Amino acid sequence: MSERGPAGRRRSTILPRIGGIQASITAALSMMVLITILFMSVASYNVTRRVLVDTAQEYTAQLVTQLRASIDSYIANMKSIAEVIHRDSNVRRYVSDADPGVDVRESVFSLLNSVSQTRDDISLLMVAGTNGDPVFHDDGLRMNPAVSLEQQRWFRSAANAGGEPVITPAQVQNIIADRYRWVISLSRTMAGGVLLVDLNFTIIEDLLASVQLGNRGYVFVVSETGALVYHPQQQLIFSNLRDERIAEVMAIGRGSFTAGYGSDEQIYTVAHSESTGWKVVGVNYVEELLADARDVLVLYVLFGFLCFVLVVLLSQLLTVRISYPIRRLRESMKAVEQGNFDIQVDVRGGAEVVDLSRDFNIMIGEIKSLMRQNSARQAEMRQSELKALQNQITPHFVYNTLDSIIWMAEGREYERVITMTSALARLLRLSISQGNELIPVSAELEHVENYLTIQRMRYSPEKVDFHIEADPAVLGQETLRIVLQPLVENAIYHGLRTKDQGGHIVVRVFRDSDTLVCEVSDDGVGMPVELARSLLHGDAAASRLKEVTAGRARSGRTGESSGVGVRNVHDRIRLYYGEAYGLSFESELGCGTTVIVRQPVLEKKLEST
Amino acid sequence: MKIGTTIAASIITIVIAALITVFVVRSLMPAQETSYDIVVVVKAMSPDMEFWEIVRAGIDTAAREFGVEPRVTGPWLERDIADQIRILSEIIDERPDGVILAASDYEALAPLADRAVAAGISLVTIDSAVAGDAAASFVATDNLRAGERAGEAMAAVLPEGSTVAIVSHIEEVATSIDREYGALRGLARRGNYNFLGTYFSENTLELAYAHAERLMNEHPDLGGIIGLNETSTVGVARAVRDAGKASQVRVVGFDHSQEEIAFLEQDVIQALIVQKPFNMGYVSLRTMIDVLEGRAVEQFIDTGSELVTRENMYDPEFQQLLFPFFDPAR
Repeated sequence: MSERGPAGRRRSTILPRIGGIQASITAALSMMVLITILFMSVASYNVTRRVLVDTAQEYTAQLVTQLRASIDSYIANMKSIAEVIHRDSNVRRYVSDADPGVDVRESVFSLLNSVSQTRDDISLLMVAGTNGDPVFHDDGLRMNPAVSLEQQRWFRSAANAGGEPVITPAQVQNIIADRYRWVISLSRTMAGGVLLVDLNFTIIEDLLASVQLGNRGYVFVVSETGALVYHPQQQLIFSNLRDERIAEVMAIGRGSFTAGYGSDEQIYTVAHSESTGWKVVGVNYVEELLADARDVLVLYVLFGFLCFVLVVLLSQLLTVRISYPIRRLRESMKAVEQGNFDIQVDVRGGAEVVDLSRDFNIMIGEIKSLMRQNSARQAEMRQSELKALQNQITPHFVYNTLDSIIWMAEGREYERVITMTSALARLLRLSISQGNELIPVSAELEHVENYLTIQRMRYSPEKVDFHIEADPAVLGQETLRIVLQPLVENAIYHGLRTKDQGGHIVVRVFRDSDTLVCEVSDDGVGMPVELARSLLHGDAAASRLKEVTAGRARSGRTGESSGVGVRNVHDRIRLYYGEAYGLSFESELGCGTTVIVRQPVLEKKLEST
Repeated sequence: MKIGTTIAASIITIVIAALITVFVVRSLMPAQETSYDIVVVVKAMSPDMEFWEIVRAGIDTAAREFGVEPRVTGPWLERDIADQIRILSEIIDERPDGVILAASDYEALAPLADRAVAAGISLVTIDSAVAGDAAASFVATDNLRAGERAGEAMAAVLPEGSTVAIVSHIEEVATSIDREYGALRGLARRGNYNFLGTYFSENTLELAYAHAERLMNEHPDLGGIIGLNETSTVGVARAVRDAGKASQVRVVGFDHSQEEIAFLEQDVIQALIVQKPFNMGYVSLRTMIDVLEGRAVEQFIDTGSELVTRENMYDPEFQQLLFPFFDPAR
């Protein structure tokens, strides 16, 4: 019980014990909150992510569709311009006639010029006929002498299309001297000639470049054949410094797909233009879209932290309500453990704790009364035992002594009868009187002297000789009564009676620091160590009590009874004073035996009694 | 007593939870804030200098992709070497994270380059290097290889045994030396040519024109002239055109001004070696970010060159190179 006491108590005061109520409450609540927060943040992150991605996709889809529509409208406009020029009779005459004349040329020029005035997205209008003199919308323009129309890609495409308008993707138009412009060309053959409408590609490029899809997102355009019409990083792609997912774009046709991983995860959204066959592609970086979703996550983490703080505070409160009264109860129990039964616990807290403390108080009361009963009964038992042990000696001896007196009276030895009778009378008085367990050493010595006097007279002065030495300082000390007489009896029966020439008994009493020592020495036959030990370590006191009360000692032989007496002395001393005191033997076969009695010195107790 | 200790334990728990929260929040926050301060010092800021405008377009493209906002600065014209030195030293005092430098002069800017690196600034050079090994990387056209292509292109249009001359820009400049050496090696690889020598235009049209004119007069058998930069090429082409010898004297040049393109269409110039300034700008910024983030980079990065002829000049991949979307007037 006591060994785990101090260490355990100290630990519990420093930190809440693992497995303690507070720790359990905190752990349970934290776990609950963390799991909830985790679940909610993951779920909401996913929902937010999906919403953001969907929104971005929708936005991008609208954007690319709008871009596609703008491009389509530019193309449609080119087509309508081409149609106007194509229908014009002067133009028809100019291209078909080998020598149309200046008037026709002039009217063609004014048509082209006036059409070009209406639109600033038109880079070049040209009508070329069989006469080899192309008409431009601006008479300041001159053919590039180094090129021929027939070599131009748009020219060949138109020739192959057989009168249908043909759109040629972005390219550099080099037919005008000293002018190199990016254009989208619409070309159409007519009556041996050709008509060309160039759309200024810079307009479309500006349109596409101005689109913002986050910081990293961009828009690009591919033609029907998968060639890049426009890409903000076209040069990097041509130099193989960058890849573009053109094959995937071509495969999907329209709609959207995602590609890449981690920070390079992209969403491609494709719009398809029927009039040009081009695909306008918007590219979004998922990471950028998710900046908001990350904010939501951060919010959840902060919220989680707040909840955690609340949990800790809540568990603190619960500790005060539950754990603290229980701890106080426990401290009271510890006090009880250490033998304090006068504790009354007054613990306030939850109803259960109040009940517990009330039950505890009742239990302590029960234990206390039980213990009181128990110790009273024990005291009673000891008393009766002691009485029985003391009584054991008297009748046995009195019978023998009276027998001797009778013999002496019959022999008319009146002097001796007087001496013996008076000695017996004093002996009996000392034995019976007072009823006190403790008597002064002087009284004990008187007792043993009377006893020895009787014994010497019963045997003979030669056979039993004795001598009593006592330190005058110890005469006033207290001793357990009738301690020496059984030892002396034992010495006579065991040591001297069987010895033919008689013997000498010495009784010495002195003080050895805190111990009162009485020695009974004889010079008799001595005894083996085993016998000495058996005299002390026999049956338990209780069984001997039975033995004594059953009167076995009385009917038994004297040798036996003296052994019982020695053991009685030993047991009584130990019963009274504890295990540290009692008898010990020093014996040598043929040389004699010394019995040593040790009792504590009880100071000043004598005066009060 | 015990209440006190549990309160202490709770406070400790809350503090630990707070630290964990701060850590998680910080790791969730994107690293947008750690944008680098990068300064690009080009050779010329004038919008007429199309080459540098395109370099800047490449830098802008990379800047958007990598989420940085570099400042671009430099002298107005390439010959303002003192101006570039002054600008660079001012920038070094500002202690940016990185400097991308196109050195106007190989030697004159070397001490500043060393000082920048000593100040803890990462240095990447583009187009023209500086002396020493201060730069973490040099992003440029491999001029030896470009010169070789010019030599090989000349050999392709000129029968073996013909007489060839070279008109270069400035004698001691690295680009000039490399291109000249490369051109001679390219020619020699394709056959035996009679080499008249290298003449320097000092970056003026007039001197290039005069060299070409004199060479044609003094050597009627002259088969071809290689111009090693734009000015030299245009001067030579003009001289050949004016002499009416376009069919006799073959011209191979560098770069792609509008005039050169016209000469290419007119078959006065047979081939142009075209650098990739857009790539140069893009790759230089990408390399700078690699350097700043501690990744290993190559000592020299070749941004490549293309051989453009009359036949392939309108192919889609070369159209972009010769006529970048980029419009100086915008």
